[in-house]
Amino acid sequence: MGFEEIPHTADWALRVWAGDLPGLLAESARGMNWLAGAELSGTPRETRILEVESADAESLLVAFLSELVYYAEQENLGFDEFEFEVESSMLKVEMRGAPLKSLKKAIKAVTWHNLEVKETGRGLEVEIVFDV
Amino acid sequence: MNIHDLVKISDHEWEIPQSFRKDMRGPVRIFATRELLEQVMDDKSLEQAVNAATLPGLVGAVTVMPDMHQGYGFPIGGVAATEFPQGVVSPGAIGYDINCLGGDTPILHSLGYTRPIQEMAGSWQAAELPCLNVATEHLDSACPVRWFGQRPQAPVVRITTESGHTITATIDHPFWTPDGMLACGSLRAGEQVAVSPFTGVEYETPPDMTLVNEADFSDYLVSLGKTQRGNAHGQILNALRKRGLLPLAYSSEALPYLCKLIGYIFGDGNLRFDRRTRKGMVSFYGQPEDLEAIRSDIARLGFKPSRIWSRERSHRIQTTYNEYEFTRREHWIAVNSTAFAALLACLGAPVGNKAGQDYGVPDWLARAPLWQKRLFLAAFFGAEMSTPQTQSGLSYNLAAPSLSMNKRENYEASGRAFLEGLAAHLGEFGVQTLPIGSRREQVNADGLRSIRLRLVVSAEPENLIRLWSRVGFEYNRKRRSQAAVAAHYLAAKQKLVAERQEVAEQAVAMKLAGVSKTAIIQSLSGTTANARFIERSLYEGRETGPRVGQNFTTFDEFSRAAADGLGQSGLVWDRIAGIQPIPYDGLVYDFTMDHPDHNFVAGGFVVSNCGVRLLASGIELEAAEPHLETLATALDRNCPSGVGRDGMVKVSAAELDKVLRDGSAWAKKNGYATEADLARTEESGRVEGADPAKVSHRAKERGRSQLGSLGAGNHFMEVEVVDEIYDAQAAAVMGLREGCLTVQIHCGSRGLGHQVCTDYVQDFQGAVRRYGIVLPDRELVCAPMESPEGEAYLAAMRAAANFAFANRQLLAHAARRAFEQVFAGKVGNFHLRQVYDIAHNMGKLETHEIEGRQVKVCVHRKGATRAFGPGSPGLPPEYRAIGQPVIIPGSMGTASWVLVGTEASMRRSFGSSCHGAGRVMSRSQAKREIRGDQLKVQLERSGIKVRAGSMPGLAEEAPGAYKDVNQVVQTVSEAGIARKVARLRPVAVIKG
Repeated sequence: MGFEEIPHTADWALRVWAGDLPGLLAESARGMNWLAGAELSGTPRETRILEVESADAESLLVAFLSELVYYAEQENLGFDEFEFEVESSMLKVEMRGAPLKSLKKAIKAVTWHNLEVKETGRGLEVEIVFDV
Repeated sequence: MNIHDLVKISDHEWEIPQSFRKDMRGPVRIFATRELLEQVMDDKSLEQAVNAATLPGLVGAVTVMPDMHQGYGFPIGGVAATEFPQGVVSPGAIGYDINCLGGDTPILHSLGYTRPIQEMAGSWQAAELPCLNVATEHLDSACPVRWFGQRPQAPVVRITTESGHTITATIDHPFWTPDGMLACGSLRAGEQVAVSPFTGVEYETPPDMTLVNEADFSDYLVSLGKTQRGNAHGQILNALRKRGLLPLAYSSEALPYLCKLIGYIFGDGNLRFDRRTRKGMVSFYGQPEDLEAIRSDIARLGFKPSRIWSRERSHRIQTTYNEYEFTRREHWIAVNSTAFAALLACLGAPVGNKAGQDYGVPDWLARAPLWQKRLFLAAFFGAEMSTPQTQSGLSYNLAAPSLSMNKRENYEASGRAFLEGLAAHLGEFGVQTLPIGSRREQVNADGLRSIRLRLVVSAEPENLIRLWSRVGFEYNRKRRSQAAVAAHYLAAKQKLVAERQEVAEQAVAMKLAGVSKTAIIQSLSGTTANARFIERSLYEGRETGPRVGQNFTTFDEFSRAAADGLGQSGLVWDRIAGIQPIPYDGLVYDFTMDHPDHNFVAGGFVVSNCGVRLLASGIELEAAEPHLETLATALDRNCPSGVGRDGMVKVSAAELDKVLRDGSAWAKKNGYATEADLARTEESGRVEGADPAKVSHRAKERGRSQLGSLGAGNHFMEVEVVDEIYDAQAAAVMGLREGCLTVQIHCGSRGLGHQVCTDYVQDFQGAVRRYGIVLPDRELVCAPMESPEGEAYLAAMRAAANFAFANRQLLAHAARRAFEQVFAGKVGNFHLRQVYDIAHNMGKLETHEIEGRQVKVCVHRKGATRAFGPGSPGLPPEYRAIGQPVIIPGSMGTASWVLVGTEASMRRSFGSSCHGAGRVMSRSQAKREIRGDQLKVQLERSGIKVRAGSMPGLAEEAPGAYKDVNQVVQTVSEAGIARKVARLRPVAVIKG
C-alpha cells in the first residue's frame, strides 16, 4: 500500500496502489492530503458519512476524493480515518477527521484524466490527476 | 509521439494529419516554433490534442497554441470546434451540492409509495424516484447516486403551503419555483412552489410469501394444454426462472410491475392463447405515451414488447338505447410470449373475452401491502375510470368518477363481485363508493343480453381527494395529471369553505353577544366572505354548509394556472402559507439524483471560468514609485486571495442565483461596476442562456462564500507599467500610455466553476454510454449539444462564466478602492479604466467559415483566448476597427502582453489565440529547484513588490517553470493570428 507523486506539467498527479479497493481509496486520500499539505488539529473529531453508488471503481474514487475536496474547502475539515463498506457498485464510508490546522495548497478538482484502476503485481493501482 | 510524426507547414505552424490515428475526426494544427514544440514533446499535450480530435461532430482542426501544455483530458492552449447542433459539448474540454431535509420527510417513489428519507439508508440504491424533467415537463424516473445524512449545517425551517403540504428543510435546500430552483431561505409567504398533490401511500415491507411456485405453475401449464411432453413446458419454466419470475413472491422485484400490468389487462388489455398452437399473446391498448410506459415495464421484466402499432378503426355499437358510430385511431402493443401470458393468467388475469366469463379481483391481492394493491387499482383505473372533470354544466363541482363494465347476463353476478372487490380494496384507502349500478343493454348475436355494471365513487370532496391523491392513475398520463390538479382544486375549495364556515359561526356568536349587524359585517367581511354572506349567516341560516362563492376560480381556470409550465407532470403550483424557523436536533438528509434536473418529490414538494481583465490608468510610474509598497499592501488587503479564502461579499442563495444569471450586470446593479466596464467585457459580462438551476447546490455553496476572491494556484493580481508600445493607434484606443500603470486580474469562477465541471464530467460518464460515444479518455466525456445533458451543461457553464465575470468585476472594484486609498491627493487622476475582460476557458456557440461555408459551431477554448479580428460581431464600437484586445499574462515577474485579434485568427484558429506563457516544469520540480523565499528576494531586487500567501506556492509559479512568454507571443504574431499592441512589465504582484 502506498503512493508516489508522478510528474505532471501543469497540475498534480499521484500513483497509488493497495491490496483492495478500500485500501486504494484510503491511500488515495492520504496521498491527496500529503500533496495539499493538509495538517489536522487534534480536536474536535468530526465524522461524516458518504454513501455513493457508481458504475465502477473509478467513479467511486472520484466521488470519494471530490467529497474530501469539498469538505476541505467548505468546512475546513480534513479526514485521516476511514471505514469503508464496498459492495459491488456501492460505497459507504465513514470519514473521521478534524478541522484543518493548515492547508498549503488548494486542490480544486479530481479529474478523470486517463483514470483507470488496474490490477497489477501490487494489487490495485491507479494514477490520479488533480486540478490545482 | 515523435516530432517526425508532425508535418511542418511553416516555421510557426505544424500539423498532425488525421491519418495519424484512425479514431481522429480531423487533424491537429499547432502554432509553435520548433523550439517551443520540442519543449512539450515529453509531456502529453499533443497526445491530448489527438484525443480531442476524436470528439463527435468535430469540424476543422483541433488547434493548439504555442503556450500549450499538458492538461487533463484536453491540452491547455487547445481549441476545438464541434458543429451545432449535432456535435457534442465536453466539460473536460472547457475546464472545471449540501442541503438537507428532515429525517421523517416522506420521499415519493416511482411506484407510488413513500418512505421517510432517514429510513432509506439500506435501500436508496434500489430506489427509483419521480423527477421533474424541466424540458419535457414530464415526470421521469431517476435513481439516487448518493444518499447521506449529517448534522444540519444551516438553520432548519418548516414550510407550510396553502393546500396543507408541510416540509422540514435546511434554509439552503432548493425548491422548484416558477423562477427555477431557489433555496427555501430565499422564499417568502405567498410565493409559489411546485408540489405533488399525489401523495401515494406509505411503504410496507411485502410479506415473505410465495405467490406462484413451480409446482403450481407447472399444473397451470398442464391445464393450458402444455403437457410435460416435449420441450415447451420446460422452456416456459426456464424462461421464467432465468428472469427471476419463478418462484414469484410478494417480495419479488418484479411483482409491483406485474400488479400494474395485470390491473391494466383487466381494463384495456387482452390475453389469449391460440386455439391451435396454444401460444400466448398479450395486447395492451392506449395512448402512445402510456403504451411507452407499459413497454418499459414489460422490458424491465425481461420480455420484448412490440413497437407501438396504430390503425384507424370504425366502430358501430348498437345498444338498447341508441346506435353509435365513430372512427378513432387505435394504438396498441403486443407481447408474443407464452411464458409471459401464462404467468399473467396464472396470477388471475382474464383469458379471452372478458364479457363472457367469470373472474374476480385476484385473491392474492388481499395479502399484498397497500402500495401493491394501489398499483393494481391505479392501472385498472388508468384504463377504465373516467377522467377527473366538472359535472356537466357546472364550473366548480367535480363529477363523481365512475367505471363501467359489460357482462353477458349469465355472468352478471361475477361482474358485480369483481366491482365489489374493487370497492372493498378502495375502502382500504378510505375511498367510499356507491352501490353497484346495473342497466340492461342490447341482446347480442349469441342471443345473450349485455348488462352494463357501473361502479361510482362518492363525489364528497374529501373522498375524491383521497381517491386522487392516494390511489390516482397509472399508465394514463392525462388522467394522472388531471387527478393531481383536481385534488389540488378540491383542497383549495375545502380550505375556503372551512374559512367561510368559521366566519359564519363567528358572525352568529357575535350576534348572540349583542354586536350590531353593521359592526359584525365591518369586522368579518373581506376576501373570504362578503357582507351578503354574513347577513345570510345571521338571518337565514343554511341547510348545508357554506359554498365557495362565485368569486372562486372555476376548475378550468384553476387547472390552467396551477399546471402552467408543469405540463402533464402531475405537479402543480402551491403558495407558501408560512416559513417558520424551528429547533431541530436530529440529522438531516439528502440525495444526489442521476438526472440532469436533479430533483425529487419530498413531502410533496419538488426539491431538488478562468479569465483575465486589464485596467489602464494615467498614473505615471515615476509618480507612483514611492507608493508601490503601500499600493501592494492595499491591494493585498482589499483583494482576498489564498487557499480557500472567502471573498469580499457573501451572498444569499437567491442573490447567488442572480449573479449566475446576470454576471457583471449584477455587479453593476450593486454598485461594483460602471456601464463602460460592461461594454468592455466579453459578452458584456453576461452570457445569455445561463441557468442557475443547472448548477448543483454544492457548486453554489462553494461559490457563495468566494465571490470577490482571487484564489490560489496560477491566479494573481499584478500592477504593471506599459513598457513598450507596438501599435500606437490600438494602444491609444485602449487607453494604454507608455510609462503608465495598469492592473491585471487573472482568476476565474473559483470552486463553483470547478464543481460544475466535476458534476457534469461525472454525469456525462453515463451520457456517453447512453449516446454510444466511444472516447480515448474519460475526462473527455461529452454529450450532444441538444441533448438534455448537453443543454444542462451549457446552461451551467454559462452560469459559471457569469460568476467569473462578476468575480473579476468585484476584484476590479477592490483594486480601484486600493488605488484611491493610496493615490488620492498624491496623483491627479488615479482612475482605473477597463481595457477588456476575456474568458480563457469557455465553450461558445459562434459562426465560423469552414471550407467555404458558414458553420455554427461550439468552440471549446481551454486555456485559449478568443481573439476576434476587426469587424467581428460582439465587439464594443471602439474596438471594431482594431480587433478585440487579447491579454496575455506572462509568468510571475516577466512581461505580459496586449495583442489584438486578426482576420487570420478568424480563418485559421476559430478566432482564438494563446492565453499565457505555458508551463514547462512540473510544480513539484519547481518546488524542488526553486525556493519561494529566495525567489521573493530576487523579484524584490528587480523592483517587483511581492505579496504572497504561501512561499511554496510562489515557487511553483516561478518564471523558470514557464516558457518564455515573449517567444510565445512572437509565434502567434508571426503566424498572424494576433498582433502586438503593447508589452507590460510587472511592478507589484499579489498572489494567494
